Amino acid sequence: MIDDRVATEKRVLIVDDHPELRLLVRESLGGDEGGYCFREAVNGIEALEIMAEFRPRLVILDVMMPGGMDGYHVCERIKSDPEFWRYTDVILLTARAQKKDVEKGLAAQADLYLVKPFDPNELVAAVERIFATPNR
Amino acid sequence: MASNGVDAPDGGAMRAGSGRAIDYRQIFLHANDAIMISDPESGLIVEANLKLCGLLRRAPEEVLGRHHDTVFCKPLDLDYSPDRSSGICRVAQCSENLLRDDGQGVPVEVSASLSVPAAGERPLLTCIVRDMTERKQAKARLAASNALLNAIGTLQTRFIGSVPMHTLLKEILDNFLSLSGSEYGFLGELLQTPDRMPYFKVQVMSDSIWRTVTREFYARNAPIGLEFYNLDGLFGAILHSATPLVFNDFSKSGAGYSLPEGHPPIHAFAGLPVTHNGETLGFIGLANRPQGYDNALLDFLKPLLAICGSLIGANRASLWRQGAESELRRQALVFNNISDAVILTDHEGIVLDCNPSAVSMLGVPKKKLLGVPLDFALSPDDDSAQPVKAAIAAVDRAGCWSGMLAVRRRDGDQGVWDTNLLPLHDDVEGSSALVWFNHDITERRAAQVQLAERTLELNAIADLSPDGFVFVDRNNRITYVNPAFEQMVGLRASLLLGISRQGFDEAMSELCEAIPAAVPELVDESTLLQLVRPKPIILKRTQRTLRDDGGALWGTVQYYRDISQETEVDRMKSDFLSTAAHELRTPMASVLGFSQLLLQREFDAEKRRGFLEIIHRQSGQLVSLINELLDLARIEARAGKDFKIGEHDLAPIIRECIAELYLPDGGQAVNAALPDISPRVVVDPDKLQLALGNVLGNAVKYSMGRGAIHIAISQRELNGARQVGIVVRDQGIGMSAEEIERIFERFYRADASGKIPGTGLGMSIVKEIVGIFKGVVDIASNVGEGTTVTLWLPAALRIPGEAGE
Repeated sequence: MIDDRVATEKRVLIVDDHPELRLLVRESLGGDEGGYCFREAVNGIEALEIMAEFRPRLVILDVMMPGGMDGYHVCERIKSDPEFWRYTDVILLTARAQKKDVEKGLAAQADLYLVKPFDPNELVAAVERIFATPNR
Repeated sequence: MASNGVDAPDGGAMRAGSGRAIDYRQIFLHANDAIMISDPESGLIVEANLKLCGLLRRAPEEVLGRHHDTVFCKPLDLDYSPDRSSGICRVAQCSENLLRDDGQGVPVEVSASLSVPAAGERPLLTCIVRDMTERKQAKARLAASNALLNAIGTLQTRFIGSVPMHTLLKEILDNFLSLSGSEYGFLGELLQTPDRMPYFKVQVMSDSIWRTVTREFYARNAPIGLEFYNLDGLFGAILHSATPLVFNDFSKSGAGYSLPEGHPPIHAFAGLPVTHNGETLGFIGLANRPQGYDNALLDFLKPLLAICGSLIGANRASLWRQGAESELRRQALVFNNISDAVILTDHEGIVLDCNPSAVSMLGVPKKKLLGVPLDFALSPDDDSAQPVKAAIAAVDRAGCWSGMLAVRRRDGDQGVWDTNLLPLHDDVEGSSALVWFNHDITERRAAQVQLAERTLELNAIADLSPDGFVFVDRNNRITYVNPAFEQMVGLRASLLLGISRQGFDEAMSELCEAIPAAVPELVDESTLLQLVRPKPIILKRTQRTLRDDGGALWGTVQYYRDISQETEVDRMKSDFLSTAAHELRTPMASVLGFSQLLLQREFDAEKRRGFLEIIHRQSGQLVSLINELLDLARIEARAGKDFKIGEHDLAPIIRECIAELYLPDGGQAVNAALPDISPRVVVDPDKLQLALGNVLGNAVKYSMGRGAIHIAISQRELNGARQVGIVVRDQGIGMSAEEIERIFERFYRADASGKIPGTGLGMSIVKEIVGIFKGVVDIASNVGEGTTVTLWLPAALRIPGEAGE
């Protein structure tokens, strides 16, 4: 039943400690009219908690967050957990723009690495591409 | 007939009856000499006395009536002419052996006289036979002694005449053989191999010693001698015996001593050790004297044995002398050519001789050195006592002396000699001279002094250096660590000195978090050590191997520099940049993102306004960030150089700061309890306002709606310096101990929710500014109860109230 909902609802979890950024991601993807089902978390621990019951298709994840668990860490957890990885894509959305940061993100098996500030259109295109891809 | 007055005794002796005649007869009969009277015509014995009978060991009746020739071993050949007409008694003498009854001959001397008979009477031959046995033996001994003396004389003459030793020894042996009447014999010497193994070498032997089979062997070996290394047998016994060994029944008493193959049989044997000055030089072996060997013979041979010892000893001494002479020549060569100064003195220290090097070093003609006391010769104008007397005393006591002598060198400079003093051993004259071997070490000493000074300098540098130095010697032992290194690693030098390099590396590893890569022993390179004990520091270790001019390893120097601060500053700079960039990107993402959305899409008025507010707020955040970054950068870069620090009243500054404080609607009250007479502090008022503004701003932000903020002034004395504190107490959310610890970290925000605006730079700026004032920032806080921040500032020296203003 849940799997049916996952298939029909386009669930997106937005994780960022800045409320403006969460709003920006949301509005970029069309807000309430965008056809996505959003949930938000302000840090990594909260994100993993929501993951377990929300089972999003996509996690848009900030890297530098308070609370002791950064985005890389959350990404690794998602990608190493057989409960999540089959149906979850991760976009790292971060202000860390250096080459080593990008490499670190890819090492954490993120599906996409976007640097702040970002072009909302680019984010929309990436998200649409992900939802067009059949679930693994 | 007696009345005829026969005056010849013999005539009278023949007649018994008259008193005188009896007297004669008694004399005749008991004379000590044997007397025999016979008829010269017939040769028949007519009278014989007791002595004669005794010698002949015959009864008188057997003697009388015999022909006088038959009592002798051969007929008497008396040179007498019976000339009756002349009336002269002729006396003849001859030596003859009387034939004893048992067939043995007794040596006798015969004196014969022919009596001139009275008219009509027949002449009589009177023979006085004297027993010559003893005399003859004495004569033989004399002859033997003469032979011995001759032998000795000859041998000595031959020796002095430098006859080859082998020939001489052969003659000695021959003399021994003939003097002792031995069948054969040999003469050998006790010698030593070069490695001081004694062995016995037969130098000469009589050639009859070997039979035909081995004669060839003898012929081959006799000229070079036979050598015996096993001295456990008969030879050894003789050599170890001080007195001659005699075996008159060799086959029995010599049992145990086997004879070599082909050796002729031995019946009697005597081994006579040849000694000289108490030293056994060899022995003479004599064999098969028919009558055996007795003490009398050995005594008789003693002088020859002694001379034999002397000759061999002398020969050896001669050989030694020849060797010694060439040695002396060599030594003279060395003496004259050695680069060290060699000086001979007597026991009073008077110079006897010196070599050219000594002359050259001292720059004084040799004749001026000879005969003068050594200390004067060495340094004529130096009154300071040289240790010459002490050195000589030491040699007399201990046999040698080593030490230093001060000399005036040819260039006039003071020099130093390293001197060994030895007595000059002379077998002939005893130890009469002293040899001073002097090595000029002036330059070396100067170098040593320089070295010592240099070492002192280096030690001073190493001791004062803030960097660590460790010296490892060529045996990989730690020989030096400087105080800075002790401080760095918290280990006493006493614990490190002498330990191996490996032990040292292990000790260092224990201080490190990760085991540092061991420094390759002989490679000059640098490594980083991250110490966790005694305090977390980063050490850069640089190693340099030291080699001498010849390239031989001398040791290694390890140089340790504490680069924690540099590393930390580097890391902080790098962190700061990336964090600053991140902090700028986040508001920029909002500004750019929302403005793009507004430009590209249609939103209702409410949303548009919300987006614009975000853009505005985030733009403001960007400006604050940039300003504060610039503030911080400026303060750091100038390190207070642009601060206008002076003495100022504190209260007005605080009041001004409160007045400028932005209090949002519903903000809490700010109560300032400031004294009437303001304490004066040493600050830059503008910069203090900037710092205090940040503190007050935080108090407001983090205690929104939670009670008033109190500001007070406090005073204290710290380390003898008076400080004035601005105490800002809020009743806000407070901080945990961990948060307090991180409060001065750049971009650190106690608020994780993002609801409270801020850059995370404020407290960094506060700390920098107060630090430049030489003050401190104290923070006390409890979660949920509020935070108290105190800025302690240095008080002005002037006592408040004395101010002339």
